[in-house]
Amino acid sequence: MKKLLLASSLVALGFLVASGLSENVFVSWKGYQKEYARLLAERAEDPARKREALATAVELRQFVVPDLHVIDRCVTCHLGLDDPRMAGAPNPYAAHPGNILKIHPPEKFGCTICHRGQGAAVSFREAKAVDVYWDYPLLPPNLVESSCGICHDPMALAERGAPALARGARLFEEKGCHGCHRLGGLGGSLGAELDSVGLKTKHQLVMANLPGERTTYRWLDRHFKDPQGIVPGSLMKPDYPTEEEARALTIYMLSLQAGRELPDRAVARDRHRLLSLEHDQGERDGRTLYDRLCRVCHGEGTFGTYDKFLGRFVPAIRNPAFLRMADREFLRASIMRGRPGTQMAGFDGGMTDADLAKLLEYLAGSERIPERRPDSYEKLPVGDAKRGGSIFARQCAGCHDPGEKGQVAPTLSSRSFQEKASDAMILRTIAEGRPGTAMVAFVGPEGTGFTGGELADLLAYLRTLSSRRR
Amino acid sequence: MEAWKDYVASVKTLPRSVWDSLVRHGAPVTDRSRMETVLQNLFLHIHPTRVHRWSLRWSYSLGLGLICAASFLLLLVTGVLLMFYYKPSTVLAYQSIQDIHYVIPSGRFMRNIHRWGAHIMVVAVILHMARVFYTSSYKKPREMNWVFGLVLLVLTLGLSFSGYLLPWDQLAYWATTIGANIAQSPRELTDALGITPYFDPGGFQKTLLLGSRSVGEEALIRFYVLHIMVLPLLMVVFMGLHFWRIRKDGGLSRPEDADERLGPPGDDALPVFTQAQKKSYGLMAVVRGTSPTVGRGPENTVPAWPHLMTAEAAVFMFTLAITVALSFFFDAPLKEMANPLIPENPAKAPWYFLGLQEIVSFSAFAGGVLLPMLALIGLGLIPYLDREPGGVGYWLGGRDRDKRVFLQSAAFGLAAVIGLEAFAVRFGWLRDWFPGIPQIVITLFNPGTLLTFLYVAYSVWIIRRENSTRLGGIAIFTCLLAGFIILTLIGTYFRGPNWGFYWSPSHWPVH
Repeated sequence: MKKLLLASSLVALGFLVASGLSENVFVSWKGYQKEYARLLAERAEDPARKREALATAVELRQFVVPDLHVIDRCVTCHLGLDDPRMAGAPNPYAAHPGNILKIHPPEKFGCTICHRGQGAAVSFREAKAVDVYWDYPLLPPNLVESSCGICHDPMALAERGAPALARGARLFEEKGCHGCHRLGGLGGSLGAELDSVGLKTKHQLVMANLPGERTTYRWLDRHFKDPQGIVPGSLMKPDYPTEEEARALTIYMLSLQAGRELPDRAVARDRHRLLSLEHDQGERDGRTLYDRLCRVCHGEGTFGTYDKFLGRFVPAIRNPAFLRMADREFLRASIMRGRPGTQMAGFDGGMTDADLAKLLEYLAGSERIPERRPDSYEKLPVGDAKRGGSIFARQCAGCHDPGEKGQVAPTLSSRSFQEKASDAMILRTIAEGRPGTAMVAFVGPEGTGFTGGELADLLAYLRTLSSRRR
Repeated sequence: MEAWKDYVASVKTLPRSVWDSLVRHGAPVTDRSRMETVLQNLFLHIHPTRVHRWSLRWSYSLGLGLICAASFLLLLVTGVLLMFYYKPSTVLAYQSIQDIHYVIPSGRFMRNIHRWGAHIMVVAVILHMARVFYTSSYKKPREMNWVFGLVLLVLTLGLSFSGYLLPWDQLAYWATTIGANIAQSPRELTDALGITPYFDPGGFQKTLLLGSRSVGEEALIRFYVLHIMVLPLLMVVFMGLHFWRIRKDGGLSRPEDADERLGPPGDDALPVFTQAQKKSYGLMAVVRGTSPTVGRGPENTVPAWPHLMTAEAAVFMFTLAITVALSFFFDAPLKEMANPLIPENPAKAPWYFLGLQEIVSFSAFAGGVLLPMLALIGLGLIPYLDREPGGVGYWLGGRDRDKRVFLQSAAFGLAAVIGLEAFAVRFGWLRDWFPGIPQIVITLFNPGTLLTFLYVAYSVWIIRRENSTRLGGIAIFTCLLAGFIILTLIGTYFRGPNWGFYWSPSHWPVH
């Protein structure tokens, strides 16, 4: 018993001493501070300065910025941060490059607001926080630019400080990302909303297919280069960006942190202006809107094309034959509510009424599109839905699966279609087809194809689809 | 001048006289002063002055009860230290733990000790209960002390669970969310009866626990107060009761023939009664039951000081050594700050609840309320339902029949739980076959309730077969232990996202 007492006491004492030493004496930051004092003394010009340098207290240092919720202890090791004499010194003693700290004194902004990482930690592994539990690991130096966008308008920094961020913002507009992704109140709803994408943590992204370190910034970079490789089955079109383009886009994504609460003093004036414009800096004429919102799927819009990513024909929405059949009410419904059964998701909430009006004007071009086309086509007999159903099964179902989801062509049972597509439009589309799409004309010039009776049967059948859905 | 001389003499002997007034008996070198050392000290007097040699045997108690007490003491000390820095608010809690972890001198180590101490205490409490059971130590006159022990078990789990939320990290938040939903699970029953709008004990329990509909500021304060005040106080009270009862019940249990089996004391035992008997044994006449010293000499007892004290100190230091060693090498976890928008998947309760969570995955009410209540009530009734005399003081009564039944029960218990779980993992359960089935059917009929039924049926069968309630008790207790261990292992190591079964976390789908 006494032996056990002695042995246990010795073991306990040993570990107590060991932990006391390892946690309080042999900590890395104390070593760094001593080395820093030595470096400083080396660079001292006179003996008094040298003594002063060597007498620097070894103590914990931190920046506390309450309104940004920042307690950053990075300076405990990065002591030479604001000391020009330390320019060119090795890390962690080096001075901060550039004049950023003059404009953004760390006492007012801290470190992690730009660099991310775990500011409370005082060892590099835990501060970098890539493989420890922390939502926002340290950004690699070539992505830190992204943080400028938290408080600034990216475009305002194109010439000074954040060219890659500005380039990313421009690329986002040019490549038509708004077509699927809503940002600043503009854009579609097929993809994820991006207003706060920069605040996402790795747990909110599908990390399974990302080799190597699992961080959000590596995910974004890989995802831009190979969307389907990272998220199998993703509808995002690979754009094959260059390394630099991918970096610029990643930076821009990381900068999008609308959900973050910032004190007024931190937000730059240019950003206030940007917010008042709802993120939109370009002109919003019809053509620009078409390029940003529609082009990514519809292309020029004069020919329907088969899209291998969407696995279907994308209809030609600027095709004159189509525009002659459609009316404004139908177009408006299609744009705002989308076309269920296709990848055309509604833009409701993704554009303003003024935007919609401008877009319709641009789509119409030289055509004059009435608000509502008259319902009459020809005088047709009352159709028989049952007969229409068998015609549909033979001629139409191959593309227009009447089930929940359309196969290649839009679902005809959706509410928006049933409500907004007039009888006349349906009949004319069947009869004359949709040039530029797979939808051919079913009534030939010399009375071949469907008869009037068959058309009426089909229409009657199509109109039963909406009730079947409910 | 006499006064002056006295004064000088008083000054000279000052340390001595202060000491003598503090310790009024001499150094513990005589039998009498050893007894007085224990008897006259407020902190030691819960001990007997003499202790039976059987109680000091390693192989008998394994020191488990002492390990529980020692780890509680460790938790008390480190807990108070942590309280100096911990701030119980949702905004500051996580930050204060970060500070404790990163910059408070030795804060990380103290938190590690607190964490590991808690794990060790839970394990020790469960093992202690098993020791007491398998040595029949719950038998008369110790029935109520067994029940107090169960209260201590519940308090230990409560303390551990209430401390789980305090770091306010993802682990804490989601484990507590699960706990709160389990508290709400009586709704499963009231919903099935359609009386939830009128009578909703589940909702009441959850609200009582959280002070709100979800885990937040109110819940944090509640858990904090429970953790640092209410439960520790109750714990101390019940520990006092528990220890007091041990004294009153004649020390640790030991067999009737302990003296014969031990033989004469060894050379290391201090001699008995080197001085004339001072204490009157008339007092012993009021001690209840067959106290060892009634009508019998103290030949096989040794002075508590130093024998028992050394043993206690050894166990305490042993516990401390294990705890600090673990704390030195393994940090207590601190995940990302709690974020109600990012659910953990799988969200797991603390490990000792994972056996229950395994059943909760079928029915929250069965796993979270029904079965634990049944188990606790069943355990509490053991000393009252098994009143067979004899066998006290030996592991499994020292009889081959008990060992055989123990092994059979262990085999049956393991086979039943593994078989049922394997079946449920391989073929699914009712919900997978009949998606529309009412939940009440699963509440009543799931691997957990089925297992309980099998165990109870088995032990009833053992009682009848062996014609012994003690053996029936061994059967049910062993089965419960086997079920607890296997379900806990499955919940801990083999359950992944969406509570799916995986052989290893490396097979988990990364999302």
